[in-house]
Amino acid sequence: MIVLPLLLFLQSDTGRLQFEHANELAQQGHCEQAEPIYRELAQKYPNKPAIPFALGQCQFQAKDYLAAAGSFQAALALDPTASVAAAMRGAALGMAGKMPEALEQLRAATRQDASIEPAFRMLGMFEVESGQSGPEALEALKRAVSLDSSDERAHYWLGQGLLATRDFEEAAAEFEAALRLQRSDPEAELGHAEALRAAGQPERALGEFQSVLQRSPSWGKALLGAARCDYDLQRFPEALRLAEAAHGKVTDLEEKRAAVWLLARLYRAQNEIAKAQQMEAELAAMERDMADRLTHFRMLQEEAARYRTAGDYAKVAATLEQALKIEQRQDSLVVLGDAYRKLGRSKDAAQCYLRALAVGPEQPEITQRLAATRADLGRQSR
Amino acid sequence: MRAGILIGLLSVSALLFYGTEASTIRFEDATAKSGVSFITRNSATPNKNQIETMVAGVALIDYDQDGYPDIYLVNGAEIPSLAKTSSAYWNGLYHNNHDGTFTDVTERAGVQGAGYGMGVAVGDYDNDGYPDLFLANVTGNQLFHNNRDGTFTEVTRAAGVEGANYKGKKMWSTAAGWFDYNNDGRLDLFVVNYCVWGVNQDPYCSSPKGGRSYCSPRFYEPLHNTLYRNDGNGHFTDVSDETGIAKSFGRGMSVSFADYDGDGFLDAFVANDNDANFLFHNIGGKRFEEVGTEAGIAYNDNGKALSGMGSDFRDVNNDGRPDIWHTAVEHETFPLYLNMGKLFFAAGASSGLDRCTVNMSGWGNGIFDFDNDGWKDLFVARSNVLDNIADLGTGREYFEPNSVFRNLGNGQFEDVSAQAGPDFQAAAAHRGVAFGDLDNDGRIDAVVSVLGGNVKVLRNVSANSNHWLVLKLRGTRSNRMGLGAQIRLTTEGGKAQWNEATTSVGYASSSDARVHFGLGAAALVRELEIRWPSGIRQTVRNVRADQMLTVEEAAP
Repeated sequence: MIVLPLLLFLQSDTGRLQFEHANELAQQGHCEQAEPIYRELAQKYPNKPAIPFALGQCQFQAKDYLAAAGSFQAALALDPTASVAAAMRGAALGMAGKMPEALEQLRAATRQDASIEPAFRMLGMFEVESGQSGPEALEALKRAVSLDSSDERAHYWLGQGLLATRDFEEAAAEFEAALRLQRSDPEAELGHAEALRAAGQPERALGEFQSVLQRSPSWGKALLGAARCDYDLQRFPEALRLAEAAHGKVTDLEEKRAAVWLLARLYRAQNEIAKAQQMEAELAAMERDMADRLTHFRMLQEEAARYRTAGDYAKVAATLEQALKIEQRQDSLVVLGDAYRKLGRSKDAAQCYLRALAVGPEQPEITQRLAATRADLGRQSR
Repeated sequence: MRAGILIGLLSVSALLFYGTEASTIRFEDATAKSGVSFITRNSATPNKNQIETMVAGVALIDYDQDGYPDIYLVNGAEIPSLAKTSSAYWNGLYHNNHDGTFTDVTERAGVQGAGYGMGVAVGDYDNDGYPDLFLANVTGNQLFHNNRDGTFTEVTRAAGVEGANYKGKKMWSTAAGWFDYNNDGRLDLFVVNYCVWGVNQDPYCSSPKGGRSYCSPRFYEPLHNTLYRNDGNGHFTDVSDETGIAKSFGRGMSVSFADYDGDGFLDAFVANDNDANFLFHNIGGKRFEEVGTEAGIAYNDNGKALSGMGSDFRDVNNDGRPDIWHTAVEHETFPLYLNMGKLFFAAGASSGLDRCTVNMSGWGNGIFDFDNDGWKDLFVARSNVLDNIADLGTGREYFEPNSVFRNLGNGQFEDVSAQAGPDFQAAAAHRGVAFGDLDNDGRIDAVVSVLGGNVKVLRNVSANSNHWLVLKLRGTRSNRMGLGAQIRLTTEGGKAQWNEATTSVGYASSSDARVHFGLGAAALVRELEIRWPSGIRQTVRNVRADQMLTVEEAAP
């Protein structure tokens, strides 16, 4: 639990004692007992940011992330310079699945305080997790690591980010750093194995995958990784055994596709033609499904472009909302935001720009649009 | 651990076999000296027409048969007319003056071309000893017959190769290749087609910074390829339907040929853009069966169709079986498929190529032994596809430098671009590349087209004492250029290597028809075995190294 000394000061001894008691309860994991105390204190001392901050931490621990975000927001309203509260609000929003708002809050926190390591780590982590391993995510995670080299999670997420940007040797080094700090982390071990394989070291990678599988023998990702190493080493029977085990266990679409393709090739290599054909048919069905979705997306985008040319922004918005259910694209979100602005729906527009900033890299053109839309909203509320 | 020891032994044994130096591949930019001044123009418009990204190919063609390859360059045209409205859009033919300089002979030769150009293929379709030119265009394709006097005559209409229609519109052709699919001694023509497209009718894809961006190829309907059978009388017949070629639809970018299964008939590999690649297995010179998925070359390691670009189809590991290497875009890697007989093994990870190429975008490419050490290396002409990629905030740039990967002889490749000369540090919008020995010094040179910039003539100056042999084939029963012949070379040390006679290399381009071998320390070739497309196997013994050798097909 983070305690902010600057925020701790309370005017009365009774209040201070109550606050310290609540903190102790929270630290012992009894948030359900601490929460009513914090709420009572918040009513008594409405100008003390420490109280909603501590309440927010309890709610965060209890996984009530939306409530926690609200409490951190209350702390920030009392002390806008409290960068830790800003970071925690960002974390809470992210955990609550409100990624656009989370990223915006974390970006603000890192700009406000360049030494706040968790904010950098979480900004990078959320971006990497949502498939945005661009320069911003990597810079944030590198900053986190430089601020606290003992943060195992920062090393891990930097490894994941580097893996996503295909900087395999660097990724392997970060996973190694994470494992030095916490050897038993299976996710870091898996990431390390994946990085080693991609870096062209299948033998070493296989050892790592096998180590993961000793502890988690049914983990689809590890089974698939080990199968691919055996394939690289041209040990086809071993690869086939592992790939067959992985096939039913991988859940991610990309991994499913990789497993099916690997099996198809291995069955061919082992002259099991009927089984190979079955896998090839499965892969073809996946391709067709993807192509159909893309065709539909393309049609909707073209329709939206025609409506835009005709100045029918209501139809632009309706069409793009449908398209975005198929694929979240930054450019489409920007066009949708622009359409909402034309329709005077500033709140929806702002939300689109926020989403655009969450699904792609931060672009000045988008942040300017967001700022202008918020200014519109401010004027409207006045 | 055991595998580690094995790899070590392999590389030592490779060195012992050839006794080569640990040579460094090096090219110098000889463009200024060459006098070749040619800018590839695409007429980029705010409408982001898809064709603008893809201009254009390069050919090496010894059109006057003086023994030195000349250079032919394809160009775009004005948009929206798609016409070469000024000489700035002309294609270019540059005569090799044998002293490192070239002379522009385009107008005299009559090969300015028409319409919006993409690819070029060199082949002697009438077996008169002089290579002819086929142009794969967005607009009507063109065939130029070599008049053997330094000029060409366009014979497209008479030959019947203007380009096939799809849904009432001429298909956009990107590349082409000459090969004798039915072994009748006449070169047939394979034309690669891309997608359904109309000028200024591209889907609207926006850039996050505002304005338009080029759309993903997946937004366009794919096409089938076209196969023309050479009738032997100056006319060709479209046999795409009857041979089964027209059954497969993809956004084709390149074609390369080799007999992958050793049945005596040339097969065709087509790299597709965002579609599964094709491997057209030639069934007895009568029909083709698309076996890309079964053979394991349709998708990358993750089972995904890549943005296939250029391709080459040759034996990289000296096992006598032609392998496939094709380029793609960033985050996809440039896959290397090793031929295991009927199946291919995806060797991207194990060869180190995935690691080297994962952050690159490539267009033209080729498998050639640039340092003459007896192992074929890899060259790629690079650039991102999107001219506004920097706007997307991914940290990528449109311009990229070219790269060369040295074959270490142990299944591994090493990126040696940093030592390969200044061009490999100079980023540009590279597109096509043609390979050949421009100065007949036994080292393979490269000519690279640059979209929006001047072509690059890269002279191979790799300094070593390795030996070499260049073969010029002259078919008698087979096609005159001997395209499709497979040559096995055995050095005095007993080590064998193989190469293919083909001009169809890389993206939209056509390379020197002569067949090059690096020999390492071997000064003598113990045996050359040529398997001609006619089926004749011819053996030549005790050939001294370091020469250009013409081999005429023997009588059966």
